[in-house]
Order: sequence, then structure tokens, then C-alpha cells
Amino acid sequence: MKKIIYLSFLALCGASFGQNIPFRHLGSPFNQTNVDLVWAAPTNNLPRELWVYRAWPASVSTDTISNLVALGSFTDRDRKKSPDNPHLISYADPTDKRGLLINTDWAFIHYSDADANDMHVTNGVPGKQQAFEMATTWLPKLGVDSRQLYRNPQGATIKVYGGPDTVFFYAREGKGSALATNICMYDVTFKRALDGVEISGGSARGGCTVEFGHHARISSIIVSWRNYKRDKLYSVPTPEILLKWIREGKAVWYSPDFDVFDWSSIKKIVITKITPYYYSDAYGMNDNPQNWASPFAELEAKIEINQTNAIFYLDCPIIGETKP
Amino acid sequence: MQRGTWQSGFIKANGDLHASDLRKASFNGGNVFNTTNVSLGLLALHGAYGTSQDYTTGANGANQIYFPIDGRPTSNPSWVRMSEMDLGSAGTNGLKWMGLMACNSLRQQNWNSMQSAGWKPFNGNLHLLLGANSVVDDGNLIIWAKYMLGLDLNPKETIYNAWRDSASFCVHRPVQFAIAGFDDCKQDMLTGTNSYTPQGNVFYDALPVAQ
Repeated sequence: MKKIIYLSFLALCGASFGQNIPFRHLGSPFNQTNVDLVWAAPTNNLPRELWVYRAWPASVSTDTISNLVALGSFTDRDRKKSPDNPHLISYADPTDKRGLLINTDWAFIHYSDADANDMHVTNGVPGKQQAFEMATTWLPKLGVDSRQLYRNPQGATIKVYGGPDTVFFYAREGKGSALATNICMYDVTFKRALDGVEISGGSARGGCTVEFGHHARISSIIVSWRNYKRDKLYSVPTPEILLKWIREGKAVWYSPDFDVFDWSSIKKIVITKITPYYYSDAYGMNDNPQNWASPFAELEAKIEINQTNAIFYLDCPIIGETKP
Repeated sequence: MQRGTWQSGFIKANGDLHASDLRKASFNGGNVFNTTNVSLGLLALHGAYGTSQDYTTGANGANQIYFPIDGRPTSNPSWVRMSEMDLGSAGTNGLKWMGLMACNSLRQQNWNSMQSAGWKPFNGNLHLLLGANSVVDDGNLIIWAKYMLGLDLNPKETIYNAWRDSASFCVHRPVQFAIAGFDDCKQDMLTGTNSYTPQGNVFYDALPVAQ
């Protein structure tokens, strides 16, 4: 009997560990327990099992550090002292226009050059293809393993995010149409994936962003490449269990179109798509980081409002019991 | 911000924030960010955008952006229209930079509509208005502060660039930040430009989507 209780306790600990995602950051609590939830989402491509990853101390190669120091033309005099944290490497030029922070323990990099991005200067700002090619050449220089980048579901090509920084100028009184439009920077972002599942959020949570300003100068780099290793394997629950969890209030919701909504008039919600993501901390946001990456599900849902369909999203846990 | 020796001017949370706090005087409001000697303001709440023209006084038929205010238990829930705002105040201690951490707080289509209607939510004293052209979460705020202040050996950045770079820390996908203001204030750091009165043109910057 003692053994049974012990094993049950372990299972509970495993589930709560993996599901301890701060969902409050992902959306508002979904407390509609009486609504009719219908599952119509294909699950053919949904993994049957997912790992929870634990972060271990990482490293940043001397080559990567050298590449970034050279990019910013930093000298030894620009280096900031950090005797209390040997994992931090920090440079700033005397005018604070260019700066670099590397945390080797997190494999986190942030480089910025304020002079490389000027909303009034568009000469030499690369277009989509040129920016992609230049960013791609920087991946190995930054220690990014392109094999772990998130790829398009339909093929083997790397998924590329980002786009132009477009500035619209108006007369000082701010009335009427824009007088001019400038593209002053182009952003190329790659996201990291774990077992093919994308890490949610911006590249500071897992991925790499390189931004190019005028004359193709790099205006910003962000790399987040924690040393994640598989920790525990979990089964992915059936749709019935996911619906049960939603009814139990374990999900949060958000919509790109409405932030406040009266759910009382909604009788039926149809789940049309499920996409797994990993939740991962970002460096510097929390004094007590969780040091793991755990999967969750994004459910695309359809509701009918005034005879038209509206789409919103539910984020909920996706891992069930620990696998042996 | 306190770690950077900045003092909190005021904090109004939950039921302490009333719609009248955000409205300008001509709408019988207190315009609290303008009148309490704060240089940097942050309003974090829900936001919603209108898809039809709003013909209430001052809106001039623009598609508005609305901010719901709970107000309970001391008053009733209500909405603040962006046209009811007049952010920015003169002097060294006046409001110069304002963050609107709310979904779609600077939605581009609605911004364009406001421009066509001939108004903007800030006056000639505000340098920069920092917001979002999408759904957002507040995952960036600590990093925004650290980058502006250069804390923890982070590169010290302009208010503008700190907002831009902090978007990558949000957990939502996709997130697109936006910034409006006067173009001669893009290089503002937290110190040294408080007493400056903008002279440039108005801009709206739809920053790249952060995934």
C-alpha cells in the first residue's frame, strides 16, 4: 500500500512540474464551464509524447565572442567589469551607442548599435532576400545550430519571421495622410524548436534575431540558445481530456481582435486546430528562472457572433502522465 | 525602475483607476499622467479597437481605440476613448514618454483613421508614445526598464530601442510593437532630454513583428 501511494505521489509531482507554466502571461482565465465545447481539430500530426527539457549551464565559444567584439569595434577599455558574475561579458562604447551583453551560462546575446538604425536614412537597407542571406551567414558566427531552428511544416526549409520596420511621417500637427514612408530597417528572426516543436514567443525565449539598418549595418542581435536537455517524457492526452481540462478552468484565452468579451451569450465553441509549443524563460526577466522548457497546446477555436464566425485561441496544458 | 533610482510618482491599481483619471480636462477628466510630475508613464490594461466610425464629440468620426476601466467597487465600469486623451505636459518634470501596454493600443489602421480625422492622443510636449499593433502580453516590461537604465550590465538603450528590443521577450506570438511621437525624440535616453520641447514631425513606426 505504501508503494502505491508513493508511486501516485510521483505521478502527481511529474504532472505538476511539467504543467507549471505561468499561463497568466499567455491570456485571460477561461472560466466558461457550461459552454458546449466541440472538438473538430485534426490530431494526425500531433506528437503522442512530448519531453520536458531542463536547462543546463551553456557556453559561448571564444569565436562567437570575438565575432561580436569585432562587430561593435569594441576595445578592452569598453569592457565593463563584472567580478560578481563571471558568466557575464559586457561592452559599451563611451557614447552608449553600441553595446553588447553575453551571458555564457544562458547562451544569451544582445548586441545593439543605435546609429545603425535611423528612421530618416534608408540608403542600403536590405530587402527581404538580402537580409535573409546576411542573417543566415551570421548564424554559425553566433553559435546557432541551424538544425534546431523551427522549420516550415510543409518542408525542410527554415521558417523565417520578421520583416521591415516601416515609419510613416506626418505633418507636425499630425493631421491627414502620411507625407512620407521610410523602411529604415529589416528584421530577420529564426525560432528554435525542440523535437520540431516551436518555442513560443519572441526570439529572446529561444531563437535568433538579426536586424539590419542603413548601409546593411547590423543594428541589433538577440540570441537565446539555452543548453536544453531532455528530462522527462510525457504522454499527450486525448482530446477528451484536453476538453475536460478546459472545462476545469486550466486554460487561458486570447484573441487578436478582442480583448474583452461577454461569454454569456456563447453556447457553442468548436476547436478547429491544435498546435503544440514550448514555454521557455527569457534571460533577465526573473531573478528565479524556472530553468526548464515545457510544452503546452494552442487551440484555435471558432465561435459564432451575430451570424459570423470569430476566431480566438485557448492555451492549455498538453502533457499527461510521465512515461517510464 | 527603482533600482535605477527612479521614484514612483503614483500607482493606481484595479479599482483605484477611474476613467476620469485618463480623460483630459475638456472631458471633465483629471489627466493624471500630465498633472502628477511624472516624466515616464505606463498604463497597463486591456485595449480594444473599433471597426466603425465613432462620432462622439472630439472623435471626428475616427475608428477609435478604447480602454475599458473596471472602476468597481467605487464606480461603474466604463470606457475611455483615445480621443479623450491628451498625453504630455511641459517642463522638466512633465510627462514626456508614455507606454500603453494594452492590446492594439496603437493599431495601425486605427492610427491612420485618427490621422484622417485630424487628432492624436498626445500634445506637443509628449516625446514618444509606445504601444502595440497587435495582441501583447506584459512579458517585456522588466526588460524595457533594464535596457533603458542599462541595469545588470545590459547595454543602455534609447527609450525607443529599449521598447523595440523588449518585444522579443513577450511570450505571445506574434507580437508587433509600435511607436508614435516626434521624430526628433527618437534618440531620447531616460536622462538629459526632459526639458526639451519637440520640434520635429509626427511619426508612426510599425516595428517588425516579434515572433
